Amino acid sequence: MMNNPAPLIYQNAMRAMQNAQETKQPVIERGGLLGPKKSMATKNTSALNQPANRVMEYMKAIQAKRQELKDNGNS
Amino acid sequence: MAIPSKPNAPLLDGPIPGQNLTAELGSRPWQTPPQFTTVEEALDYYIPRLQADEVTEQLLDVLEMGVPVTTVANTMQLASVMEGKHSVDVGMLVLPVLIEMLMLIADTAGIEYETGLQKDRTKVRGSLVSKALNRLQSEDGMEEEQPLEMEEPQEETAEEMMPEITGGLMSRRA
Repeated sequence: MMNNPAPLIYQNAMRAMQNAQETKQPVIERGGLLGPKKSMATKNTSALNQPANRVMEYMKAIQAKRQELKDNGNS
Repeated sequence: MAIPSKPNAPLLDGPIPGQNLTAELGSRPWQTPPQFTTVEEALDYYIPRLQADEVTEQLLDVLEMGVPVTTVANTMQLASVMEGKHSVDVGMLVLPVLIEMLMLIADTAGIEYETGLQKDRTKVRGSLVSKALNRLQSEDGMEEEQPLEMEEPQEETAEEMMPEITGGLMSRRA
């Protein structure tokens, strides 16, 4: 029986963050006046619409702060 | 609830089936619609509370005592679910952010803390050491006793296989 799911959830979130960074594709701008600037697939399912992705963004921001704190402490 | 001494021991004082229906439906806070329905609303509830001086002091005390960050975060979100602040789903989503936030607070205060993640499990608990020692001692005791118990079976010789001649009047003669 799992009493505390927090470690598992945290590790899964970290893994998802790493995978998201690896699979980022460059945005290709298409030429022409009527050509769409963004593909429809990415337009509708924007990453930030998903709560899990927003959580990852918050985690990144806090991790950056922690790293900044560590760097300042070391220097 | 009593914690069973053995892992497979039955929970005798656990809730009986249907006990959750003994109270009127909707009378418990977690049965009512949650107050915060999104991750952002829940974080807006948590973060100002975590930044309050009183809470921060207590939190740092708990972390310094060796309670893992993950345990504290899980307890916080579980308490909020019980209070009807947010749903279990939002609680699960909020957990990683809470863990990061708690670690940031601890880092800012400059205290040493245990995260409770798998990587930290290199530390061996004292209770495990004593248990292993007891087991080792009992195994040593068994090994010392074993030579007494383990007697080599003596091979039956041909003489023993021969029927014993008894000297009674009614005994069979060969």
